[in-house]
Amino acid sequence: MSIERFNDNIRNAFGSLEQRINGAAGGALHALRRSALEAFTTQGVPTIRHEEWKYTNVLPLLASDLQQSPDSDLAAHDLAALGHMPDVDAWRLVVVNGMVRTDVSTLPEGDAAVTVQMITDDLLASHPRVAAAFGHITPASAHPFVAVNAALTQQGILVHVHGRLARPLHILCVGDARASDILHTPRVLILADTHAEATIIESHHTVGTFQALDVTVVEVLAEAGSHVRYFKLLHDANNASHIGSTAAVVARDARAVCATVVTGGRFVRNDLHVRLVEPGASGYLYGVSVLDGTSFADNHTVVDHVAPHCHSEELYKGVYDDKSVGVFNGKIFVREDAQKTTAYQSNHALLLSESAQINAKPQLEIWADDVKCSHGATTGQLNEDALFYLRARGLPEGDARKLLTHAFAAEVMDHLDDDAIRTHMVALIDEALA
Amino acid sequence: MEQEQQILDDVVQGEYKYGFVSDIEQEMLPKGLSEDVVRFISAKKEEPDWMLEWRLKAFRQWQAMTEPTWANVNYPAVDFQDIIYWAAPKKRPELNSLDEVDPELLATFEKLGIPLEEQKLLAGVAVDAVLDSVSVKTTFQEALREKGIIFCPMSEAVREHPELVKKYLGSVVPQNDNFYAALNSAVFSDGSFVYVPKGVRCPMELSTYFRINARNTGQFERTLIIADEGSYVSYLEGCTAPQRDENQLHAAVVELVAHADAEIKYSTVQNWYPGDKEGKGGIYNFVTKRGICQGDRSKISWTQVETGSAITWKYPSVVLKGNDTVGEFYSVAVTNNMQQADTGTKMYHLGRNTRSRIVSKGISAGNSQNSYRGLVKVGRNAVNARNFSQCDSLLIGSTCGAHTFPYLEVGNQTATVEHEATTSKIGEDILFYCNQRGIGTEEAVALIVNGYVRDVIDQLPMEFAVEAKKLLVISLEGSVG
Repeated sequence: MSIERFNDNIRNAFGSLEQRINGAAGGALHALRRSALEAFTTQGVPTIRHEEWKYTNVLPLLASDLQQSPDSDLAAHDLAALGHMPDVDAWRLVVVNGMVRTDVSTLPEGDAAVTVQMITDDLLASHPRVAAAFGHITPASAHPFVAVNAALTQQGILVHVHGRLARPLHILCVGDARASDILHTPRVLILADTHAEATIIESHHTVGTFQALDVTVVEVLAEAGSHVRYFKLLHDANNASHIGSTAAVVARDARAVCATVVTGGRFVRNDLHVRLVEPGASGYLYGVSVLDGTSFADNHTVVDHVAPHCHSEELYKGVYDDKSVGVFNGKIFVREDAQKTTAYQSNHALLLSESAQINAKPQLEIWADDVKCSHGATTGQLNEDALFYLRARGLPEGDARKLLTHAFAAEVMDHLDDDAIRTHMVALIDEALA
Repeated sequence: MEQEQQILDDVVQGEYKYGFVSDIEQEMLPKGLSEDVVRFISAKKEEPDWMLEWRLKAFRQWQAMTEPTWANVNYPAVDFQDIIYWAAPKKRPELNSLDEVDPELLATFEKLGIPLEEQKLLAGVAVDAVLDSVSVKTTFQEALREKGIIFCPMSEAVREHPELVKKYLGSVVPQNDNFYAALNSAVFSDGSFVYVPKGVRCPMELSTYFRINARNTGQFERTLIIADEGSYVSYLEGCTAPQRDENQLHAAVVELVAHADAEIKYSTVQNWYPGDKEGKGGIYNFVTKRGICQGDRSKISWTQVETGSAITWKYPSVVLKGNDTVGEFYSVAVTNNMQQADTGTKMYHLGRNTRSRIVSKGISAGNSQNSYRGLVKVGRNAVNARNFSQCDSLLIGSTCGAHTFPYLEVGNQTATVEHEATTSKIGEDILFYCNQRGIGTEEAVALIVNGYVRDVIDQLPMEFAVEAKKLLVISLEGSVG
């Protein structure tokens, strides 16, 4: 039932989007949407019989009558309060229900290092790199919810970084669920030119008490020698669900650092896909989930070594309390030509309550021989010796546990080189652990 | 480089050394599977009605099932109507001594090196030799009978010990467990049945050698081992098969039941025909193996050395139901040429203080694909469950693949689950080190591979360890440079 209604909602939303854009329905952008709708129809809503969704049941999310509502009148001062990062001086790009709110966004002016613009038919026609990347780094055929996003994208946003970005760019994806259950589909393409350097923060927020599902797709193209740091913060209300897909294509000697912190929300599914396509490219993936209540978080990562001499490192940790459930799926592919690959992955989980659960599936698929790859996954408790050490020095057991749990989770962030952002992320983790 | 190529060529072009065909008169059914075939097999084996009903139930369930396709292997679809489901050496009058056995049959065993009459005392091995589908010779029956141990062909157990068979058959692997288990349940031809009574320690290793002999006959073995309270049994399974051009399907089912304080050790050396270097021919080995640690403090240990078969697809599993039970899985899987293996284990932790250990060593060479797929599941009530898994892959040559698919599902906070996996090739620095000290490349590789698989080989009973080492040498001799 709920699947059928969801399918109908997607089709109706597509129909009304088509009417709204009217004249542009014949353009290249809408052709992408149309093929994405077909891709969604072909794939359908995934069930737990689908290997990639084995531990992740989306059906409860579809129990709500999720509708797109592009016209939000959220007041500027309400938006200004969201996603505040005291130590991070960032430009803000605010997207409400999939539409950019220029009145509350603070974008750089006159700074040659970055341009932020809407993706239009004209842009696709005049900018072949954008046309080659948009909808192609993450094709709609690869993932049913990417298809949903691609079919319903109202405004694709292009963040084009030409040089070294002086401040981080913070993209806030806001869902306005004050009047009804909503579905919103923010979409971003980040183009980092040769030797460009950028720090991007993506965070998700929901206003109102109705159910909100945001299906976000972010594509990143890191050209030769560029350095892209991508931080994703999910600290949302418990009526908020998120299905996000981030994919990065990393070229020669470029470097992509992605960190994901999940500390709240009803349901989170993150797909992070890093493709190292030219020699010397490197990918660093970090993640921390701290969950309680009945929260659910699924981190699906893929590191795809296509070219030789590439390097990847991945570290994900999770702390699960109450009835929360965590999922980790980490794939490393090393293709035939990717000799001299080094790829490391580890995943550690701590269960704090009787009913918490973790399902992990680290996965190595290797077709080249001259490689060094490893993965490790553990689930366990705090080290008894460490606990004893702290207690012997006068710390009450509760405090000792807190300290060790903090150390367990926050350690992941030590790998980040941006002090302000690291401090902010550690604060988020501490807040969730408190 | 030239030397490396030479070594590689030697291995790649080396023919299967155990490929020979015994010409023994055989009786077989026409190809195809129907209810009549199931009835025929049952009648041929003079089975009671309940057994026939059991088979028919499985057959009906099988008909409603579809072939699974999730494994990381590729092969042309199996035509289940193109298989002969019954082939048996012609029945002869009861024999009193080995002299009356078909000499050709004895010669076959000779080539396989099965210790039968002459070697049985020396080797201390009781052999239930299975040629195609009917057990033709069982030794050591008397010594075992003294202890109350039942070790006989499954067909005999169905007739002689119906109460045990009825109680345990399908209790670990139900008829509808999976497609191939259902097929096996419907048409299983024979296999071994072992029952070790309370408190008995089986004095010798029990062993069955399987042979797939007749052209186009699928072999559907069914093995059931029951270790009653406080008993111990070690069971060896080993196989070689003659060279064939058409793919042969092997879908066996092995069930182990360990009661309180009992221990079952199950060891396999598998060396079926892997196909020629283009991957033509070769055995499909789609096996369901599962054991249950039913009683407290029981232990089940699987050890396997897999070097053969075109496709190996099996996951020996342990259900740790009792408290303080232990499950172990040690595996070496070697794939060469066009071989594909998707193998691993499943450990279900259900009881309190259950422990499991998984050591899997994959070696891929040639154009082969080698996958480890394992599940460690810790149930809600499995307090203090402990698991350690290690799966390493060694790659030899740039055209093979190694894959790891571990699933860890933990539902209890007191559980400790650790998994680690590595993939690498034999380091040039290590080879250089050996060369420098006067150890040739080929020898060095043997040394390294031997060390690499040692954790597993050490688990095998001595006689088997020797054979396993030989097999590894045959499979991999000098294939790295």
